[in-house]
Amino acid sequence: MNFLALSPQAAYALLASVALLIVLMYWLRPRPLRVRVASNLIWRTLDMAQRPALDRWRWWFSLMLALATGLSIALALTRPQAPALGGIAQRVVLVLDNSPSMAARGEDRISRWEHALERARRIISSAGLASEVMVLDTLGRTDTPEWVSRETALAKLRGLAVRTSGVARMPLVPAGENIAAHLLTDGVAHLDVSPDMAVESVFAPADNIAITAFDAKSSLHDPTRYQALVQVFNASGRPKQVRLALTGENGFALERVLNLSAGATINQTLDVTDYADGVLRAEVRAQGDGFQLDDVAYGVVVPHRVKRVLLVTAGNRHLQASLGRLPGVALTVIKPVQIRPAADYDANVFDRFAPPERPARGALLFRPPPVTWLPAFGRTTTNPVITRWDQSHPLAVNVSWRGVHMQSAALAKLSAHDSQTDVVLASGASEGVLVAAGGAASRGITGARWIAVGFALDDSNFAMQPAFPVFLGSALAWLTAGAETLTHGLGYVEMPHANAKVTGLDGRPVAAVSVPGATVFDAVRPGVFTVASNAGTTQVVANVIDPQVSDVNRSRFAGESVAVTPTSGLPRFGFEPWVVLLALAVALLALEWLAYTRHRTV
Amino acid sequence: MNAPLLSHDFLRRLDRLRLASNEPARGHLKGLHRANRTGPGMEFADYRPYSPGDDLKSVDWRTYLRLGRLFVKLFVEEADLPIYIFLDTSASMGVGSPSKFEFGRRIAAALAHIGFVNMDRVSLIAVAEGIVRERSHLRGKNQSWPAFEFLQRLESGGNTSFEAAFKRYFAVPRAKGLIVVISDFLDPAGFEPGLRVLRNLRQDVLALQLISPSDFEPAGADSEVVLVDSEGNGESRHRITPALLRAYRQAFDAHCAAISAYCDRNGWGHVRAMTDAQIEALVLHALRKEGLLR
Repeated sequence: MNFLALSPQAAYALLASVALLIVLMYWLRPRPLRVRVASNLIWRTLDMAQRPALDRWRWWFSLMLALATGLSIALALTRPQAPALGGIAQRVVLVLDNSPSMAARGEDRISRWEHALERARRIISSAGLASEVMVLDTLGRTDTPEWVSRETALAKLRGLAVRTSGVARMPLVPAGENIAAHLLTDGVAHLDVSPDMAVESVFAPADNIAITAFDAKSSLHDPTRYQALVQVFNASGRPKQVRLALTGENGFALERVLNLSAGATINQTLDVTDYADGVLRAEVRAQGDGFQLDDVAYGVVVPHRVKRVLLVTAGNRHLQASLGRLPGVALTVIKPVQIRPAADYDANVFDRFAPPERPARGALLFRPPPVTWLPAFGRTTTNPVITRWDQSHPLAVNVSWRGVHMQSAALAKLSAHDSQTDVVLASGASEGVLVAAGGAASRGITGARWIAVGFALDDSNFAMQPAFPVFLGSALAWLTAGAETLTHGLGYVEMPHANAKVTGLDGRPVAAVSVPGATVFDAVRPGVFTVASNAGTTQVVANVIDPQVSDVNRSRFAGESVAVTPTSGLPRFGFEPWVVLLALAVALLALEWLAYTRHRTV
Repeated sequence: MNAPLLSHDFLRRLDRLRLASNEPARGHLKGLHRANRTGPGMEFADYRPYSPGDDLKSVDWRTYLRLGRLFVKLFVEEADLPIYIFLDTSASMGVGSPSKFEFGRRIAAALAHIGFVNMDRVSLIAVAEGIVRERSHLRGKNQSWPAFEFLQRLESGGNTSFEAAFKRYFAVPRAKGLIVVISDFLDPAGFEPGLRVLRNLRQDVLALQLISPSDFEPAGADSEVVLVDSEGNGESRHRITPALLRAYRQAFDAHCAAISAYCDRNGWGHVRAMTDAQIEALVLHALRKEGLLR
């Protein structure tokens, strides 16, 4: 027999002491009152009638009752463990795989997660009543690992849920002689499982049709045309007929019916030019789909009409030609003296010119003269070399500055205020800024975006570079872009905007946490989230878009059948042994009281 | 000086009483009780023919004038009544408050005084395992105080054995009379062996059974007690429970009823007296009501 409260030696010593004490108390109990009576003559007649030599038996009966009561209480204090009473107390570690694939439902329409929970409850129930349980998950969503009671563990299970994002990792599982560790998983996530751990499969094959890629973008050949690329994956073990629907605002809808064989992937390109701008939603539907998370994907369609661009130059043939050849651009060329403030253009390009006031629309400036709304490109240097640039900026995509040479250039010196608001695109060897870009609220002046290049095209070979049209196209796209759109997977999204408000597609606020210099929110479902702050507005498109996630049948247990078998060794009583012993002691005390009041005991 | 056994007023009230016996008086001295023989007396009994030598004062001359023959008038003789008052002085009599011994001593004094007033011959015998002390053949009103003094000097102690005591006392010839036994009748050998001796002597007996309240309900109710026999006849351990107490009382009542039945069978008087009662009430009312005193 094991004892939880004491070592076996101490427990047995306690029991022996209690027994000895009780026996001594019976031997040394106070002497009865001696009463002098006239005669025992009549009492002796009663003795013969009522005391048939049972005194000794009564004494022994009393002693046995007292011993049983005392030992029951003492034994309860030791918290004994007996299989016949409450099962053997042990420490049970339950690791539940709560990666996204656990949400998949098999033919029984019960999710793997629900199977895992049921299995976990049975494991907890089958443990001894005094067992301690540690509940862990593979995505680290549980609290600090700790040993808790069975009841608390069951409550913790109720608080666990399948996560829609994150990488499943095996948590640190304590090991020990009396520790039984169980991993409940569908085998999809790759987990480093200890050999001592019992792995219990909750895998059941599930049908799944998923969108594994979705993007909406303008055509390279014609920016005024917009296309949506949808990749649909049949992760089921059987062919599926899939209904693909694209929907947007103002009743925009497209639908396709696709037939996919088992494990097949199909790409669909749909023309969404008619959808002017806004959120585009793609959804696949199929009979018996058991995993809904990847059935929906979102994209954002930006305005894709012809851009009206004003070029202000005293004369620059290469620049004019390059702009004129850009698809989707309607170019107007004027001289600086012809400029009018009220002109209605989508973007401006200034060559060796800069208006004194910040334009209402975006502006690309080559070798601008000093103006207040731009960083001062004052210090002129000869033959500067571009040493580094921000490759993550949209303006730098597919543009290499390494081969650009220039005879002279003006380097800007950014103040601390500028460095906070402006984006440095490229800088020279003498640590000056050659190309800079500003946001909507740069230098404390509200207006459109701007891009300032510190050298003139006439003084460099930049206009001859193959990347020059790309730069111009990217620059015009950046200058005319609306709200910034970021794509992200599900899970925690950290936006570099402090104290930003996050709203969902329905306009309702989404719980977000502000951290120094950023705002973090949890994208648990695919959707488009709007993050608004003083620095601007950004749209975050969150999609699953991961074939690894969608392939819910890629399990190490594939081919094995799941069966939730009832565990054996369920406790016989609903209470711990010490509770039973205390109840027994109470019953014995009641029996003793009854026997004493009825004079069966001494 | 001990307190007087009986108050003066009570003694005066006792002066008017007389002990009654079912048997005719067998005393040889003149007394106030009818004897079963004729002789000097006040109550006419019979006639018999005159015989020479008879006292001429007893000749009924009226009958002679009418019948012409001499007849002598016979009268019932009035003799004294021998009263033997046995007071149990065993240790069991000393138990209780007031003790049965004290109560019995006062009853003995009262009965002795009544005897003295009525010119009876009173013998006071203190008995336990045998005869402890005795004061026999006291007679006359002036014997009350010596008798009281005798009683006051008695002390309780020793075992009870009526059989031995009675056999010892009546081993010598004693005139038949009234035997008053004042005791709790808690003889270890039982009450019958002792009383059987008296029955064999064909004596008139008055059994005065004294009961102390503690005889009914010993101390230590609802607890474990060791009952110690006052006469050293061992101990018994009991838990005094209501049920046991009930059984004890029933047994005690049965014991008393057995004594009463035994006395009734033999035509004896039997009176049960609680020691917490007033002795005046017992003597003046209870004994008179039972016909033991007139």
